[in-house]
Amino acid sequence: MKYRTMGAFAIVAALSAPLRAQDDKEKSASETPGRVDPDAKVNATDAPKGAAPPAVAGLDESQAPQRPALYGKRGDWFIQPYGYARLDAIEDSTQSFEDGIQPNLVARAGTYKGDHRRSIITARDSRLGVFVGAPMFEGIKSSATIEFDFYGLVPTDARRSDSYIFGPVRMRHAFVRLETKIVDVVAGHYHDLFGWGSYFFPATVAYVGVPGQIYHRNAQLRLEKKIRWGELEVMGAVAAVRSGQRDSGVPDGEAGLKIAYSGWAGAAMSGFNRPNLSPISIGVSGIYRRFEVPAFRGEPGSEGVQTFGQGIAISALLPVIPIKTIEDRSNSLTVTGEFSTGTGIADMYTGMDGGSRFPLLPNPSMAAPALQYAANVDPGLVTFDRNFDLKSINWQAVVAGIQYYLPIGGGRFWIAGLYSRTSSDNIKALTPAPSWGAIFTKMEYFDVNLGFDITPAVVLGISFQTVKQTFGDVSAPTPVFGEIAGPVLGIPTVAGTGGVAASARNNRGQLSMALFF
Amino acid sequence: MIKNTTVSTPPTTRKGALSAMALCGLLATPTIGCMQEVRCPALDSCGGALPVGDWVLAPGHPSCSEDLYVPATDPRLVQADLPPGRTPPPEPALFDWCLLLVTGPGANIQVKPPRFYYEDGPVGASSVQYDGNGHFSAGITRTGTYTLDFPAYCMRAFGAMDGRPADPVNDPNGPPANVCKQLEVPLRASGLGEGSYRNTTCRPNPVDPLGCLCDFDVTETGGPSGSYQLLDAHTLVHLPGSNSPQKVTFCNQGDRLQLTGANGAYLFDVRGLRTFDLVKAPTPPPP
Repeated sequence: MKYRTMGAFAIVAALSAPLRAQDDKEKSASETPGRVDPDAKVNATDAPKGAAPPAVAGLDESQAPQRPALYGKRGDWFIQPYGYARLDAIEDSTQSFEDGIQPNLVARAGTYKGDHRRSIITARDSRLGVFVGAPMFEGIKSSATIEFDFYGLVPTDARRSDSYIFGPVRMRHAFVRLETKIVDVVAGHYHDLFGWGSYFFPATVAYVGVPGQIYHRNAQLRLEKKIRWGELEVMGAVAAVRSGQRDSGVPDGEAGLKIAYSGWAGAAMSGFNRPNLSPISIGVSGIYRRFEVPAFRGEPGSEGVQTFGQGIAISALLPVIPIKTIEDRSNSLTVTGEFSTGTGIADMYTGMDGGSRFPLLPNPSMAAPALQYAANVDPGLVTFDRNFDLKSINWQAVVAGIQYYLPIGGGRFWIAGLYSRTSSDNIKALTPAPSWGAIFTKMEYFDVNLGFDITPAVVLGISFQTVKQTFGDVSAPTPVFGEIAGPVLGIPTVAGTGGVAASARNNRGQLSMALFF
Repeated sequence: MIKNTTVSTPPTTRKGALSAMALCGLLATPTIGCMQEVRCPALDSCGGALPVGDWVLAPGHPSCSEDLYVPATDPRLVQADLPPGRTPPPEPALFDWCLLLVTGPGANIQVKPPRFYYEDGPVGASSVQYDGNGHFSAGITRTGTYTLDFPAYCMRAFGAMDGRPADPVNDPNGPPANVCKQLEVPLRASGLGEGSYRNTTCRPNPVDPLGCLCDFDVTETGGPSGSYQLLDAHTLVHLPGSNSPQKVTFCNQGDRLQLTGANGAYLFDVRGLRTFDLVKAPTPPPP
């Protein structure tokens, strides 16, 4: 197995397939010439002249069809595409995941999917965005960002091949930013304020969000205020965000505070991207949300029950060995970290639900087929406990990353590592015993990455990633072989107790290459 | 040579995990994930003479099953596997907190019996028989004592209450009993009726006093029978008749027989079961 697999990958590597997929990496170096950072603020009035779209070939500018500017001159509008083309080649030790290590359940050893490999080669994580900066108007700077990748939903009847060949477009960002003297406004689809978005993402070749990382985009209306004292910047923000449950009737509330000191900065990369010169920073953010679902009956009438979710996250970026310019990032060492805890916030961890669902309804009428509960909320956020009360599911996670740029070629070689641990202290108590094998209570992840900048824009990275899940059930208690165990042992065994917690692991090798523009 | 048959430690020990991860990281970075360690490594496949005779599991000669999770059957689409046209199938769900038990206010509080669910029942006894005419049979017995956990809601929300006789049919004037003892009688009968669940006893749940815990013994026996053939020097193929052929590697040392599902297949098509380490069944004394 190994020789054949390695051989196959050697061929892949030789053909220079670098790679990668699924969720994302963010913001890139606003300092890198020629690139646009969707998070960066651009003074559109400073945009270079002639940044308008090029004239159609064969026509001079006067003949080219032009849409009249809404105000100002067309040339005052700053329009710039950005993004990257990327290839990811992945080898998994199990058949548990799609492109990204989404927190699905890892297939167990002893099952077909748990004992067989999966190879993924995809360019779906390529990305295209457009940044538009409008001319200043009455002291208001305004800009818009629209960004896509190729992770759109595929039809349920699409073949596996089709999902890779077609790569349906997905909206990643679509937001307006207004900058005024009083407050800044972000309106649209953008990173959640909870977790502070891309400011604290770790460096990794793996798809972000990695397990345990708050990584979520949402439609929102956000107000931001920055205050500067020299190189110290304090930023506060509040946001009304599309709710975790549409039928809760009210938006989620998010708020955050971030402090950064730009006099102490280091190289920091968000996922697999180009590094920024990032200041030492700490951020605190929170989320509060409401859930309301029908009463736990087959026909609830209009009776509803409600509960609330909330969470807090503390994020930090620490340049252990600072640098002055991103162009020479030799010997830069930066540590990132995030701690988050909360309840009813599983969706903030990139689609995680831990396997939790609503339980089956009791069926006193013995209807066949049995009654169904009409849930109106995504799974993994809330469920009904053994007293049939609505409860939210707790999660706690810590993510710690480190990245180091070797003193070779100005930091063209870099290494990065990441560890995360995600756990829930009540998901098992909120799950009936026969379903304990379908949930995980803990997930540990770590990766090591090595990257090389072939050119300032083209990057090659390799990565090893491993994730282990601990399930709710346990292995069978050791039997007395050859004897009838029950009467002899005489010790009742509650399902899910008495043995070693069942677990499964997926190991992944990944090779990625991208050109950033 | 016969290998020692020990159930491998699940891959959860820290030292083993660290070693495996370090090895993976060192050797396999770009392409390979190291595979998960199976719980049941293959036993010896030395072959030998046809294993004609009666074989049993004996103390120190274990079976080995992988640590799988087999979910309880979802009752929402029983006998209706396909939803009506343009109707989506039901969302995946956790199982019923009541384990399908329905209680009621009548004399018999068990309106509908629960699912006697237990997970990973170990194979506590087994016998395998090969005869010289090419027939085989296997009896595989899962054993253990397990507990059903009925929350207070399931026990009381539908009208059942304490203070009624535990056995209203046979002892209608018996002393008042709590709902757990009232449930015990019909539950025991249900378990016996299913044939595999015995000695059911119920008691209040110490951590949920209005709910009940009911212990029961499992002795669930089954197994295939049919014909077998020698495929090669190390492999038998079982032809159960009612199932697909099953390949088994074997090592027959006369008084000891090791069986392993070939190429990762489950032994006797029992989900999770990988290996049997058997000894000759003791000869019954002459009548």
